[in-house]
Amino acid sequence: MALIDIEKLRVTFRTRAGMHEALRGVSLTMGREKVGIVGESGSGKSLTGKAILGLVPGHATVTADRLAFDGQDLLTMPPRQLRQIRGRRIGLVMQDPKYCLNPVLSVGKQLVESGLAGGIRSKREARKKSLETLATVQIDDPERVMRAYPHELSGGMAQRVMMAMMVVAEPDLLIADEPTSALDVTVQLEVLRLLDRLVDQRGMGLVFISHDLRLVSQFCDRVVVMYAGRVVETLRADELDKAQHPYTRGLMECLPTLDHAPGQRLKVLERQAEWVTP
Amino acid sequence: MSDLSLFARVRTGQPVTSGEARLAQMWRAFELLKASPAAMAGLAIIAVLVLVAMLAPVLAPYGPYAQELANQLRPPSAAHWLGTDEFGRDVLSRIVYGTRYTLYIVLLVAVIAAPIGLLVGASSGYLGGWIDTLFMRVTDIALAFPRLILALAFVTAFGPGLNNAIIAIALTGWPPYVRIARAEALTIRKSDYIAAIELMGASRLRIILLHVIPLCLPSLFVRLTLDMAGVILIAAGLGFLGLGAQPPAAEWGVMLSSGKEYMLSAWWVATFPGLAIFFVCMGFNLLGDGLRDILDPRQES
Amino acid sequence: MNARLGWLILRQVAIVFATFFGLILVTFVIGRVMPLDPVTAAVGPDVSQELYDKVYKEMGLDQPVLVQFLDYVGSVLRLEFGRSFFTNQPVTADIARVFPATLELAFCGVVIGALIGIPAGILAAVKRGTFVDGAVRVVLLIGYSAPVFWKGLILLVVFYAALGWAGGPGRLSIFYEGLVPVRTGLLLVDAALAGQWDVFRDAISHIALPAISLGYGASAYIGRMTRSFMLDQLKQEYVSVARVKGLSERQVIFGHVLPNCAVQLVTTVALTFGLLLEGAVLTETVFAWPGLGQYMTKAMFNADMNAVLGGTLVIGAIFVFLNLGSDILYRILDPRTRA
Repeated sequence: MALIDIEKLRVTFRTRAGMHEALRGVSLTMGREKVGIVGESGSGKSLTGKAILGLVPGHATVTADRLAFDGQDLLTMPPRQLRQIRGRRIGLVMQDPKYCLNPVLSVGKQLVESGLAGGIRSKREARKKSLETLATVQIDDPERVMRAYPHELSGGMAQRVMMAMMVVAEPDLLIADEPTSALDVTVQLEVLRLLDRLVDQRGMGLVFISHDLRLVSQFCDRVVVMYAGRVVETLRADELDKAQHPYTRGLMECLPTLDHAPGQRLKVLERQAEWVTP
Repeated sequence: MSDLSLFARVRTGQPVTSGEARLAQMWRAFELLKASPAAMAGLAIIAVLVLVAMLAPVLAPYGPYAQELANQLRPPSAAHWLGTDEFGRDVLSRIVYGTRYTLYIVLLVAVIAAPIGLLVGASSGYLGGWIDTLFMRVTDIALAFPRLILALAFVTAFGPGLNNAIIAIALTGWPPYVRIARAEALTIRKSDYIAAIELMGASRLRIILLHVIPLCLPSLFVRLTLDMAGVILIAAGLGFLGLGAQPPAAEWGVMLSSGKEYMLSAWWVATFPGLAIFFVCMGFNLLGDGLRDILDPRQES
Repeated sequence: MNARLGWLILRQVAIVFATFFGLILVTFVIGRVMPLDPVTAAVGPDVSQELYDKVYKEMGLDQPVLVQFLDYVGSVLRLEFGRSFFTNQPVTADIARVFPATLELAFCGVVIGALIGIPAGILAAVKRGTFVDGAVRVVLLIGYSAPVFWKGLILLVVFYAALGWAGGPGRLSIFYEGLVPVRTGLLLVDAALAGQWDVFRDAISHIALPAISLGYGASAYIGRMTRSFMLDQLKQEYVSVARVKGLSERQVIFGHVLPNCAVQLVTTVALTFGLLLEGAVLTETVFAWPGLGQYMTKAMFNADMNAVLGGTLVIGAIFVFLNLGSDILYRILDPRTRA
């Protein structure tokens, strides 16, 4: 059974200027694989991730023919059950760890809480599990980090804590929403490698949301390209050069390559109106 | 462009003169304000206040000081909608005339306190350096003072009376305006057109008065609106204690003060002036909140 | 504690002292340089020329202004505010006698304000944009806009005169007066210490109405601030993260959002206490509450400058201390600066 099964997902925001349809019929099916969602700002890639978690803001309406996780319909699920799915089966790693960790609670407290909400029975066990998980995200001195407050951690460290917090309950799916774009370039790669290994070791599914087509293609199995609130193309990562849609092709052409001739200008993406209304 | 009427130009944001641009800006603010029913309710209350103050002689059924000694402390009736006070004066008429005192207090406090704040704040922000440090230290110190108590002490020294009360309120009310004006001046100072005026050799005084201060006005105005409820409450408090306006003035605080003696036997004498104070404060609070929401989008997501 | 925090606190303490100094300066100016003749203010208008001259010398008015000011600072620091000519007692002794009543009233007010304001603010923020939010905001705005003495009068008429549910003006009913030995001056504490529970109950029934009229206004302020702190925090990403963890909405609000507002709330409540000391001046008149407010009001009518300035300094000093001291508290409580 598919881990995620989305069909014709629509999210509409009511604004002062009228209704704004941010997602206009997104369909996506995935199992325990690594799927990259690529698109520019406002293409709806983050919102798709949020919709799976039921985190769409209150003034938006969500409709879909199907929005299911592991066969369970997320749209009609009672809140308590939805919370259990969130806590035990889906994790989310976001862009900036500085804002994602609660500034006034110690790392340990937040990790243990995550474990308890994710189904671990006792506080002691949750603590033990937290320490282990911190070690697996390559934190040298887990005991010390458990006592630390978020502002005492570096960005890369905070993002690893965040990842630990999200996998401590051993979820089946991890959604990573631009997990490295707020980090220093030097630690980006390290964090990505860690993420990759975590997913492989635990056999989780991964939704990797990014605007960086090349990065995504490097370590995902499939790439979903989004534009203006819908999926324009789905490709195997190793067949990126077989892309059909002009937007995807345009994206690839405006990336510099190593064999790029000096002085030669990069192509500029020229948008076509029909991409929005095919 | 100019084949549009003035009204259309202002409304659609296509001004042809700077004056029209300013009007267009105000119109846009008004459009935003219209979206908030609470702010519109506040605006309506203040509009009613101003109208009633202007039309007091027409609206009031009796004179504010007309005594009917045979009709003391009568409960509300057809002849006296809100009853009469201890001298047989019509409470409604006195409340109607009281709007004039309220507006007088509010305007005078604004006229005294705002220019002090504006001048000090704009100079502080524009000139910078040790002047800025000095002015801001003094302002911060003054901001930490208890306002009502200090106003009370001032009035005691000056002697009771409406104008002394107004001066006392203004003397304790300027610090917030300094901060507002300074914050604005700091951003204006760095702009290119100020540099251009400086290059043309304009004096500092001229720049502050003609170029910095006018641009500080909108945010100052919002802050004033927000503060007016507080000013009215302090003025009413002083009147209530007998330190502000003096009897027989038809000022709401004074009316409340003399009415409290009869509170148990004639509740209407003190209750209605209190309601009037309450509504006007509510009006200023609602409008001020609305204006702040427009100007400070941080509050709204 | 690190060096940076120590430095910030030192700076804040310096500001507190500067502000106290400013307060002393302002009261000095009010007392000496204002049009009212200080000698007349001290001894009253109907005295002989010799006595006038004698007092003039005694008050040091023949000295240069700077010397006068330094003398004044000295006496304020020694907590000497001169004699009140309407009670004919040292102002310090007067204030020590009446202040506990005001303190007790303001304290009860702030407790009521926090107990109503904080939950109301949380509720409004969580239910933002709904009918509940609107209703809470209107109720708070009413408390914010109505004059405190008017609220007091209405409460007195309804709950004392009409319904008889609460005690009337004053701190105690007349037949309980003087039964409890004065230890702290706080009647509720004194009665409890003496084990006089009927006096305690009577004192509660008397303090209820003035404390509620103060507390309603305080709850309006505290509630508004709570709502805006909460809304600021609810926008933060850690809130989404907490939800992703599978926490219930209750756990998210009380376990994550509220702790982030706690420091600001402590500061707000401290500030409110200062505002209530001011508000007590107006409320005490309505309820014949024998506190500092009533003392100062009487002094004002008698143009008794020493008493007025003494009261102003005491309330002012507490106000300044709460205002700036809460800032220090803020820095100490917040883990982001504590590190």
